[in-house]
Amino acid sequence: MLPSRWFISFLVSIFVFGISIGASAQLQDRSAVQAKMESLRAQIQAKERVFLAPSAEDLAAFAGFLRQPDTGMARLMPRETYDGKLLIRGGGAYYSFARLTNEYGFGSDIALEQGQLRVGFAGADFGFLTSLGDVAIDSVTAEHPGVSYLAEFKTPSAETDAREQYRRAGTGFEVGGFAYRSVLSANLNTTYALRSVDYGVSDLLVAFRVTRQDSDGSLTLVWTILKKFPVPQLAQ
Amino acid sequence: MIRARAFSLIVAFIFVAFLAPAAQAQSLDRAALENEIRALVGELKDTEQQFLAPSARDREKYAAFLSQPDTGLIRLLPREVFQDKLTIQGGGAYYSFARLTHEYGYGSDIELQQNQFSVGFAGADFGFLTRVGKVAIEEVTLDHPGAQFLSTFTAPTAEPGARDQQKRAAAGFDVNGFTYKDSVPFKRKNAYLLRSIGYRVSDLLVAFRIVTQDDDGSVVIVWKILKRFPVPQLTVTQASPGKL
Repeated sequence: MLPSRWFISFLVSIFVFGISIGASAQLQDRSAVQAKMESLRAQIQAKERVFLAPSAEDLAAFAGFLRQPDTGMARLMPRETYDGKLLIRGGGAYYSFARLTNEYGFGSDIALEQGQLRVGFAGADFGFLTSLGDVAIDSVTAEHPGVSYLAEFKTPSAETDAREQYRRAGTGFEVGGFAYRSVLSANLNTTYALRSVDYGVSDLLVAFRVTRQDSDGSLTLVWTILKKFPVPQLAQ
Repeated sequence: MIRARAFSLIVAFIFVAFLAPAAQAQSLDRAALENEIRALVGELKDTEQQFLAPSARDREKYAAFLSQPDTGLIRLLPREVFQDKLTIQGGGAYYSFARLTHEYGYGSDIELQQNQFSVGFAGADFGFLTRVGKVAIEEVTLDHPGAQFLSTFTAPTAEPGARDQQKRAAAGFDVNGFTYKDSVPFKRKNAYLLRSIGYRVSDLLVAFRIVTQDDDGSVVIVWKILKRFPVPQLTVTQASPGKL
């Protein structure tokens, strides 16, 4: 005897109901996992902000200087140790004085890697670094003999000229007794001047001083923007 | 006089004793914070692996097929949704059938983006995809008519030849009634064939079939490597001296 139509409908209903419960449970599981991922990311980002912040002691030591406009304090992590270990792109090894962030990928002005400070990271972007020695950050102006070349440098708009400056910075050159390069050794209690040309983003003249090196290899910099140039554009 | 010197020494000692633990506390705090971050990043990566894994139900459904060699079941996340949302490079949108990983940047064979599967992502790498319809994965073998062109195609070794094939794949072309392209639209329950040429990495012919698509846009596919070709090498053309 064939089962009644009512019985078949009942079985089909149970089957469909079972499948929908299963699918719904799976969906809830994935939503829960996604929510957990988002929560973990938020926790990590909050902790990374603290980890990358200069110490309260250093901020207090430069409180007077930091009250002036276009000044700040930043921490650079050594790229070889932290890139890929932190959620922030670049592992906290980069800093943008224009965007005030360690995040890499949207234009950065300086990086720390293998005990060296670097400028010029993508495309035709380039820059020059020079060491001014152990001088107080608040004594450095655009008229300083090591800074004046950087202040007067005219940013090229042709890509070939930008690439030429990139190569020149890579090799290094001297002007008025000061050596300029895209890479310099990072030394504690040393003040540096930096011209960073970031096409389509910013063009800045910055003075900074390395005030601390922590046992994790990170450096704390106190900095001031000496001059902001018009945002450079690159003619292809 | 002696008393004054002794007093100075005591003051200096107290000062140093006071400073030393403070400096140590700061570095200890940073070390503890770094450990907390590393632990959380580890937990996040584990959670991401869970998020990328196909469901137990799908694994059970294909258990017999997956017991064969060179087979697998993976989830691809839509690039436009999850790019930069996961720690894994490529946001789970890529997969390498050669390296068995979603991680982008070391050679990948397939990508899911905007409901399309794509192949050929870096340098002179290229590939061909074709849809073979609603057939079971077990039925897609080297004898399938759609696999004939893909299994006999010889990967070029000169860069201009590879670039020509890239252009050809981007435009799409027909052979024996099958359309081959470097990207194909996603269609539920359909099976596909893929030849992926990653210079210096791998050269594979793969069959795959869509198992499910979840509400988050992710797609689970079951796959099998039908043929492995020798790892292709690329000869980069040098400019002739007369042209310098």
